[in-house]
Amino acid sequence: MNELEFLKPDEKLTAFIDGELSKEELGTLFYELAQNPDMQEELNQLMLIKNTFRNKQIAAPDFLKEKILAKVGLATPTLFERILSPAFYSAIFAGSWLRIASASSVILLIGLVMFSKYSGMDSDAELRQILLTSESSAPQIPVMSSQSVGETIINKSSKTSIASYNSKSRTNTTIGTYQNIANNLQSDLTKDLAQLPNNENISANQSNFRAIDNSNPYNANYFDFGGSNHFGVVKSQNYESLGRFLSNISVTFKKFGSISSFPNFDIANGNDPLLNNFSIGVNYKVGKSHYIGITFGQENFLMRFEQQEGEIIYDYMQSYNSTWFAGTYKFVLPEIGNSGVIPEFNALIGSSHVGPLGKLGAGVAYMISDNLMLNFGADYSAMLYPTRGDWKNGKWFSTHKIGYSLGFGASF
Amino acid sequence: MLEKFANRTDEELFEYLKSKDKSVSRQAFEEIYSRYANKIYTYCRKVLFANDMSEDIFQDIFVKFYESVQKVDQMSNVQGYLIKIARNLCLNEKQRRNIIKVEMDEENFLYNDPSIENNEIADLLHTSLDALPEEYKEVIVMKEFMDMNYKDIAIALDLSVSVVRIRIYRGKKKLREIMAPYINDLQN
Repeated sequence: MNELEFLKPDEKLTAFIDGELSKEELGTLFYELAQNPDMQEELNQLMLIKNTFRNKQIAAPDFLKEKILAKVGLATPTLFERILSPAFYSAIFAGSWLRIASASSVILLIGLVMFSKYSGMDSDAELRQILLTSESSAPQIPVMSSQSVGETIINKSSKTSIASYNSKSRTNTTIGTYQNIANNLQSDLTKDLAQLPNNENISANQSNFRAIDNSNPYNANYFDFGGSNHFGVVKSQNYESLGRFLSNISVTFKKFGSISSFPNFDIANGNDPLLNNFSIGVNYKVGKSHYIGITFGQENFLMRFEQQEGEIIYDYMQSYNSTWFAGTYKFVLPEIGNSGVIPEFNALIGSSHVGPLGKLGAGVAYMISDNLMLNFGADYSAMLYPTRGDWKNGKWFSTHKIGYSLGFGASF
Repeated sequence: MLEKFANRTDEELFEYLKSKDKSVSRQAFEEIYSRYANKIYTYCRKVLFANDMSEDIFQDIFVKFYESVQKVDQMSNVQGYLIKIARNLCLNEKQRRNIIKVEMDEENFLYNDPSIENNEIADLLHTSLDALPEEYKEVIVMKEFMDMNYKDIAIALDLSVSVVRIRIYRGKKKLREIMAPYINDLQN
């Protein structure tokens, strides 16, 4: 026999409003309540007192936590202390292939960055280049004329190239080489031109090549591409409504660098604004390891494409920057030990006004605190673009890039 | 980083607390703290009825808890253990400071005006609560402010569930007697 059966009616009521009665006991109680008006009034008064305890728990002041941690010798370590912690290194080299791969990737990335920085690959000069290819139906030796001072016409048998550059800002030996080649080829071309004095295709006022400049919509600012990887904040607290929503949001800023590009050629950026090769994104945590978000970015890219003008196919090579918008997805692995290092993989799909683009990335995030983190990783980018920006009839080309990214993120 | 500890049981966190890696034990400690800090702090505030004293005792409770963890091999009920420490320290502090309990006499209450405001009702409730005998007061605090069920209260206080139920019943009955003149205000 249930001991509750020996309770007084108001004892049962107290147990009832405290949620301590079983379904069977509830059935019995409700029957008694229906029969007894005094018991109903008793329940009403008990409920009134119960509701008076509404303020519930009192939150412990935040500063007490750090005081206690300090007293027991568990104070939050500084960033420097965390890096020096044996747990950081033991976690990375604990035997997991993923951890070893992550550490190796970091070392490789640093090496690549250092190599690209000091290998002389970089050039501040503005070199703009156009290659022209004659079609079979075109004149054997097409006629070209330069549009501006300092540009040189190059002619090589059936294939004709024109290189133009600004030698004022280029000081290395490559410039000298270009200059010599250009002078020689210009001499050859002059001879060829002299042999075709009556060619009807020749027009002294018509240019068959065009220098790439940023005012041309097909040039520097026309083709957009981009992408970035993103990280979010792992921490997720049980805040209610808006607080819960905000706790799942993180904002990221990233700076990109290029290691290799396909196509790849030595040409400086035609347009290099002060803040370039970056992205800003917002992520929302939709699952334990899954994040989705949107990202805006601006980034340089090397592109090569053909474009037919009349009977001549122009082969353009150019470097430019552009803006883009994209949707992102990120998958986050568990933290490596207690090191604060979190491996992550990400994908990005978006578009500029030229064509679709995508990125795949892998990297690690390092948590400085529960709300702030640094991250770095490697990215593969790809973009498709049509000539003349004509998505329907234009000829499509693709450009690819492998690079690295450095950034930081913050959560609410 | 605390997320991976959020799904751990108290028993697992107890094991992490004993880890020699301070990073691990710190995170385990923080998780336990996040689970029980508000409950324990509420208990201190309700039992001691003084802010500064409550904060000191509150810190001592968690310090003593961490020290105890290093000495014992097993802890099946972390919450109960924390409450036992809290109870001992709070009662010792009350005895040491000779806190005088308000007698459960209506004449001692300041609230003679039946048309009191809501915040005053809350004050009345807390004052009434403080006037209860300690054995009734602590079970009501655990039930109403710490969201503990009868079974957990029984474990924390080393009592049977029946005793807990009876104490809560009797404590609330006395509260109703004290607050009877203001029941109508509660209804409004």
